[in-house]
Amino acid sequence: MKALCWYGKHSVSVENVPDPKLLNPRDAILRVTRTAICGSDLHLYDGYIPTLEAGDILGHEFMGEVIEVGSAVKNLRVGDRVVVPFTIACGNCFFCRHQLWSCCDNSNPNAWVLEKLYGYSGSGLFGYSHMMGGYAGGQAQYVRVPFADVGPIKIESDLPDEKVLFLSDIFPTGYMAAENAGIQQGDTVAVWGCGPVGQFAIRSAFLLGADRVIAIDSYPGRLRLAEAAGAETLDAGEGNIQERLREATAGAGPDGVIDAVGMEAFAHSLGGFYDVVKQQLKLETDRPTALREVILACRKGGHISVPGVYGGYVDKFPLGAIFGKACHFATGQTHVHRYLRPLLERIERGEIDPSSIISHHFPLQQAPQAYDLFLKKKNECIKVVLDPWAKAA
Amino acid sequence: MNDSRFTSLSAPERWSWIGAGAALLGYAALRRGALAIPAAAAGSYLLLRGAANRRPGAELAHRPGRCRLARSVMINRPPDEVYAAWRRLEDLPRFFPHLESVTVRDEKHSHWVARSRLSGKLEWDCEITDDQPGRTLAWRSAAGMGFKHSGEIHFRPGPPQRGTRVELRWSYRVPGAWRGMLALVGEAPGQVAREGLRRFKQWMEAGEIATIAGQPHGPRTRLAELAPLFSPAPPVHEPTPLRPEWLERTGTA
Ligand SMILES: NC(=O)c1ccc[n+]([C@@H]2O[C@H](COP(=O)([O-])OP(=O)(O)OC[C@H]3O[C@@H](n4cnc5c(N)ncnc54)[C@H](O)[C@@H]3O)[C@@H](O)[C@H]2O)c1
Ligand SMILES: [Zn+2]
Ligand SMILES: [Zn+2]
Repeated sequence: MKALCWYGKHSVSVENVPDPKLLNPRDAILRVTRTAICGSDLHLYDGYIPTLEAGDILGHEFMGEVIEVGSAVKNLRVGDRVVVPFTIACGNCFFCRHQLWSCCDNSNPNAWVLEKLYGYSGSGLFGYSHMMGGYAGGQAQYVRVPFADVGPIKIESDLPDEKVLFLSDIFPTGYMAAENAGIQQGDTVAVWGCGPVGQFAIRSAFLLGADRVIAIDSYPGRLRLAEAAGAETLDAGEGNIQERLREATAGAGPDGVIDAVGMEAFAHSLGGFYDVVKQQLKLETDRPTALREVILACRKGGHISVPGVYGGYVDKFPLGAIFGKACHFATGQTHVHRYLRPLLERIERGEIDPSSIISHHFPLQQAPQAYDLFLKKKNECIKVVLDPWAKAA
Repeated sequence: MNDSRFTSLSAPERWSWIGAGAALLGYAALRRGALAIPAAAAGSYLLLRGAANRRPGAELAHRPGRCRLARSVMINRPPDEVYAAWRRLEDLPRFFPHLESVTVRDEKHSHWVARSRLSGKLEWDCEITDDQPGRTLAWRSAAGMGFKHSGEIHFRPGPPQRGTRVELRWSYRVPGAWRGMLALVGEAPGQVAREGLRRFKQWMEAGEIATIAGQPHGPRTRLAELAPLFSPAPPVHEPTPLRPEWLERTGTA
């Protein structure tokens, strides 16, 4: 089959590799019909996540048709159409039973690596480095899905792939981010980053009853898409975000603040360049430029929600501001399984159309160009969907 | 340890070990080539020994010391079920990748074969010294063979709704020099115990053992091929079937 493989910083290529086979009784094999590139993949592409090995297949947002099931998979049949959560979870450990699916104890064969880094390891993930399990990803024609009896959700309606594909990650991620913002009636929520995750956080905040959403980024196309969802926007390039947010909320600050940027925030101030330099020198692993801003902007007793990915250590983390304002703080890989059914229902009821954020379609063959386009945000690129079977143009 | 072989060195001796280590490391860094890796290894060893104020090679002279370790894990299944699964000793190689086979001879006796990256094939006989179903199992390896050790495992009910607290204890002798080496090749007993218990927990809770061995990938570079070699969690030997009781007892699927 064809699959997108990682070969180093800014180096990915489509290779011919063997087809996946069933390895465990709870596995299924899918013929991938659509897959997407995520902002998280850019952290791999930019070389910020260690323990990838040359030749690893990337991709954790995908859906497809079941073509083979293991002996223990009783709920799926060959021919079923499914979307697969990017977090791999067993369904039976303490964490899965408590709906903390991304903390599953039993799905990371290399848990020992993360234990050294974090104390305890989270679940395995598709296509996201060996410390996260080393599972081959879904930017490929076929993929092996472990624990297929608890993960994938069947799509029984005739909704097109493009409307349900993002159940695999970014829609639940934006939704969980909005939940973590603790939204109450009358709340104003501020969202940093209007990439795909930010877009879903904005839309979910409205679904959860936010009164106003203020979206922050510096790409005009992304800000326009946020406006289309009903958000007010601030161009980060114009600076002075703190002051403008204070004014926008009559001096109180937003009730909920969401960091949908993550470890590769851009810099538009001296403080930002400080992080770029430190990250290049490997003195800090992540650039918390946006995160600091998010924390400072939060109102007293407000909720700080961090769906953006951080991998290691950050510098000048304003813990005092969280303490001094008695803020809530919530973060983590998304517990995708939790949200599949309720969010699919919202899509079916027409409350949201996830396909509205797609800006580009490519055949898998052109995935390397697509990575470059998405990284540089050229041609107003917001979200790329790949077709593993289309002929290259 | 107040063994005379382990007392501190004089300052000149200490600094000469450090200097020699640094010189070897420098050689390795500058020359690359076939000798670079052994030179780097020897250099780091001398440097670290010197820094730790210990004469290199002192471990070799040291008699194997008695070591003890205890590792525990919480398993979300009742104690009887967990005990019963462990008691099928012939299944243990599924969890401990260094074990090749366990052959049960009778209620009390079994024969064990293991393969270590460091010492190759090891064999020993084991005798069960205490067996309390649902609670405890203790054993001892026969004198003069393979891995000389004794061990016990306890199964205790965890807090409400948390399953079973499993505690594995080993007491064994390994020559001092080997301890560091074992750690280097991912076979430090503490890590072996931890990985074994992790897989046992997966088998109990998930019915199978998580693996990526045998999945596709693109062409690898030489370095990427070497990566799994020294992992304390090498891939399972062969695909494990579903734990037989899994479907009925967990009530999922
Ligand atoms: N928690 C999870 O499970 C999960 C799941 C998916 C993605 N993520 C993470 O969410 C983050 C966003 O993902 P994405 O797909 O939207 O990526 P993306 O790169 O497309 O979006 C990031 C956006 O942040 C903007 N940005 C950068 N610096 C900023 C700053 N200082 N202030 C305001 N905006 C700034 C960028 O212009 C960009 O539009 C990434 O870190 C990704 O890894 C997390
Ligand atoms: Zn993602
Ligand atoms: Zn689990």
